[in-house]
Amino acid sequence: MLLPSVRFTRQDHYLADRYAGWAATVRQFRADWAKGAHPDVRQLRDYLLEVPEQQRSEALQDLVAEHLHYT
Amino acid sequence: MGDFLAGDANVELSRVQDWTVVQVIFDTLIERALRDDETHKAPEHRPLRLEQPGSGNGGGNDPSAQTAEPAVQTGQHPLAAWLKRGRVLMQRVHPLAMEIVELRVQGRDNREVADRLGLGLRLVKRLVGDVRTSFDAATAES
Repeated sequence: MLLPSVRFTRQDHYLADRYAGWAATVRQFRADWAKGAHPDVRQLRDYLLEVPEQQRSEALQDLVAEHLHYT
Repeated sequence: MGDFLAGDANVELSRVQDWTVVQVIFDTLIERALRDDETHKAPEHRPLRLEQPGSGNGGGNDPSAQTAEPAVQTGQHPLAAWLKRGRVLMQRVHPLAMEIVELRVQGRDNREVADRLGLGLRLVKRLVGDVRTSFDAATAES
């Protein structure tokens, strides 16, 4: 059962999402890994190009965690 | 449930066996609070009572109005005002803030929320922090 407000919110996903780049880069990493590409840890920086600078250090933590999870 | 909404019964939460009932109560409160806000029908000190089946007006939910600042309405029930204020604050933080808070309220930790929404753990922590900051700021203003 969902709160009524959630139904409204879902219609507006990512319309004003300042973390969209961060979320997208994690999804991209997962997708690449699923396709058979196994990027080295040093290549993780390449995933951060679309992430705002002030978010990159934390986004990198998510990418490293994903890398550890898959390896 | 009717007694609980009417506010004239002492509900001992420790005796609650089925929390889905509590969730139904709060969903009902939220739906009515939103409807009251939209129709401006919120007489002062009106007791919170369950409506009879068929007595509702259908809501009329306009998504375009969801991000607007809630108007200050005299006589609005404090709970309705608080719920609407909270909803607007969370929508300002992030489109997923409501879902994250809902999952946390259900007892899931940040890791489970991240897995459920397909986000990174660090991003979920950041969003939870943003929601807290937003509410702290709003509390300081009031």
